[in-house]
Amino acid sequence: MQVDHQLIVQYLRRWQVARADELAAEVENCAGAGLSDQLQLALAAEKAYMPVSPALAENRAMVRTLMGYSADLMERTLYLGADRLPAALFCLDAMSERAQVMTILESLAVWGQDRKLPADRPDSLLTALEQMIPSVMVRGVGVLGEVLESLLAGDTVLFVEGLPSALIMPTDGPPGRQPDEPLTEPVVRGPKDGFTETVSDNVALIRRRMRDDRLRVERLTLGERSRTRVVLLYLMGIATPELVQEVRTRVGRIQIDAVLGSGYIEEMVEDDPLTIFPLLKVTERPDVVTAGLLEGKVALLVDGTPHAVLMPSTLVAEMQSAEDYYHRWPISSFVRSLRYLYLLIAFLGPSIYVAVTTFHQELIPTNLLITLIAAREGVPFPAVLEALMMELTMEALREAGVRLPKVVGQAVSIVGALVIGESAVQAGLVSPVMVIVVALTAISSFIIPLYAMSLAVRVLRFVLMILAGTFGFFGIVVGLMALFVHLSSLRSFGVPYLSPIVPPTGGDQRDVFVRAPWWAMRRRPQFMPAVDHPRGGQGNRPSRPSAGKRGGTP
Amino acid sequence: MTIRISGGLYASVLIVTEFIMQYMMLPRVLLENAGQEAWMIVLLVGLYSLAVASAVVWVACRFPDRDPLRAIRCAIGPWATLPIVLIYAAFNLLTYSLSLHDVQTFTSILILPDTPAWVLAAIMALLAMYIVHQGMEPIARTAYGVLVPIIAVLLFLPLAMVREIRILQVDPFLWKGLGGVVTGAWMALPWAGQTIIVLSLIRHLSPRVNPYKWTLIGVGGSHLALAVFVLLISLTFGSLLPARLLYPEYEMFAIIALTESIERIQAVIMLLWLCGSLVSITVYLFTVVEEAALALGTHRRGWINFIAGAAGVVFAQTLEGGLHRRNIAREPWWIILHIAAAWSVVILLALFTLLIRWRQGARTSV
Repeated sequence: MQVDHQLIVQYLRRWQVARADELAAEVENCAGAGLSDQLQLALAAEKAYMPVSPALAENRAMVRTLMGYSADLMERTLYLGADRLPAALFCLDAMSERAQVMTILESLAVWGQDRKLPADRPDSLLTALEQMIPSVMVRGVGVLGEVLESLLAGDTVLFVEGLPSALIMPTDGPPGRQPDEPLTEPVVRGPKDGFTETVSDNVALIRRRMRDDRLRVERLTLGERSRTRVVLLYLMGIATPELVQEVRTRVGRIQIDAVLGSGYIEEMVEDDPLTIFPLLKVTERPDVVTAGLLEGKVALLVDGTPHAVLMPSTLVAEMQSAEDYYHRWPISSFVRSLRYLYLLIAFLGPSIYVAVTTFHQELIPTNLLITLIAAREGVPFPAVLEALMMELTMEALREAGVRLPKVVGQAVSIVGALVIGESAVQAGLVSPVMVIVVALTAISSFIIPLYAMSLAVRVLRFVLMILAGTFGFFGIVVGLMALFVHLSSLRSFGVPYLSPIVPPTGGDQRDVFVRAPWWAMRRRPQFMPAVDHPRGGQGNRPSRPSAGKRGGTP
Repeated sequence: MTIRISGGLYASVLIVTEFIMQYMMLPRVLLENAGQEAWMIVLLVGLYSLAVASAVVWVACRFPDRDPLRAIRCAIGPWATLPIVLIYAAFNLLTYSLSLHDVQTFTSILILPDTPAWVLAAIMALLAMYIVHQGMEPIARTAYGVLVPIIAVLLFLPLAMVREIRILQVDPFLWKGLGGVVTGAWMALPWAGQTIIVLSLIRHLSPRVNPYKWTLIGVGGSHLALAVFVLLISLTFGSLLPARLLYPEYEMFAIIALTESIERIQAVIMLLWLCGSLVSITVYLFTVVEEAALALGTHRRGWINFIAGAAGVVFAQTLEGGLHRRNIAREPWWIILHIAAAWSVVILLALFTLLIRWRQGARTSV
């Protein structure tokens, strides 16, 4: 790596700071050789204080050095205006959108060729350049640390000879994909677009649904090394300032080297770190985030992940599907109540089977008992072991289905389930009833709309199975009690996790086990700490035309 | 941040604690003594319960945060609270042990006959310790969660029992005379005095809530519910048969058959009762831990919770259920011990309240 030591030393000496002089001395000691890793790290540690030099060559050398002569660092030398003022344009390959960079280049090198630039007056030069550059925003920065941060985010940087600041032009366009239907939250009726990995696109997807000037968007940067862009969204006048401030405080507390997904943040801002339940709602759907904002929640979007985080969340919110609000309310209510029923089956199905067949046979009607005994005849394992074996196999199949390529995954899941189930029954290792129970449980767990909740139920099911196999219904009761107490003690940003079921709030029951019609949901949830509760007028309920108008004139 | 509970949650705790445990254990004793008029005893001792609870609430309302013990400790000194806390904690530890023993006996007879009873007690104690560790709010919420299905059962029960009820079972009225009712009421007094636990509950009640109203709902509701159950037992079985049954309520649910296939409904009810009992056990342990921590002036309750929880398990097994036998026998000294414990706490609280008032008055006059 060819390093121009002289320029670096020159830059550091110009800075006139004791630490810079020390660094300059160290660079001089490396004469002829490349800079050591230690020295490069020492230079990087000071970048937040390094001023942009008026000498273009020094700035170029410093940017190259601080970026470690990175292979994707693109540099273009330019001569601006009629006086051919030397300048250099920097951007990162693929992180910057090439078409935008080309437009800027074209403007500077071709259209501004005959323009007279005031090279001797930096302020005027800066203004003139700002006018020349066809970018939605141009800002001047005077510190190399900020220059590098922008460069790494995909922006384009322009250094000009004699100008002690750099011009930053937002051209970030990292590789991304088009908004597509969310894989984990598909709907039959409703919007089909989902978040992508690009945070700015995700903000636009929400803006598109909420054309309200009171939608506040705050940008934060997290991760000492990843410098991940995080966007905090809330609706001013609906979300309480206390909640927004609490979110800001908790997010601001995060000290980590990199944030590669919303899961990193989720684990560091939730109220109880030792719970298996999701205390924040994670979604890929912009309509869900928008609905959450309208309920007074705060959303966090993280660059690089299509998963937004909504806070606070409740158990009930985890059981709501976006589709509930797009179908007619009686259908949605029916489906939602079924969902709660199947949640119980997914959670308790195998444990009740194990408890009844092992300890409480007297509870089974005689005819059914005879059938069960006949089915279990010859099975060498106790029911609990049988259930655990089958459930573990089912979990393995499900996990294999997720990890394998899509084309193979489905085949493996189906063939595995059919073949293993059939073979296990034929070999007399498990009873056919157990296969039915496990299959029903697996189907029930797929009905839970959010994946994080379904994972929690899957794990707890094993605990309950062991308790049922050891102590029968007594074990199940003890397990459920402990679980209920745990759920009662949970809070998400101060909101009780079991709200609005326990403690019950009358009006909020309209959107819990059933979904009331839209015209009846005139208020935002009462349990949410929202500023403004009314959300609809009283006259929304549709009615038939009055008798006078019926069959009237066209 | 201190989390306060609403009036509804407070009443739920009182109803579940007072009603659930006695639902299984008390009716047999009452029916044996008062015959078919046993339901009257429940209403009668309800007045006594209310007197105990109201006295405590009245004293508590004189102090900031409705916390008389803390106020006495600050105003007079730690020594002053010591006798109150000792009596109160010992009384509740005894109740906790007896409750633990009742539930372990019931569970080992009807649900898990092959499992050693002490194992069941240990599991229940562990659960109670966990819940106590979580604090008052989860306890109250769990009590509420148990109470809702109990109310559903209460509403459904008379309908399901219609075919079994014989109105003539009440005849002859006052078969064992007023003496029987009074004897039965005397026997029930140890249970009725357990409403003294409001001393530990009321400080967690939201300051915006009227404590008298919700204490009345809680204590009154529990006695009313129990009276209904006892009356239904009398109307179904009379009084001779259930007085000889170990768990007459269990038998009452056993005869309900909705259809030919849904006939073992008592199992579901027993699970509900088990949940309520666990809440009840937890509340007693909570009162012990809470007041012991206050007396010792410590915020680290973990070890107090563990010691009290484990002590309850040991006491429940002591002398092969010797404590339990005394509780069933309801000997006079046993009953007097309970009444004395409850009222000595109330009287001591009142005395120290007067002392504080007197001191404040003296200081003001100076």
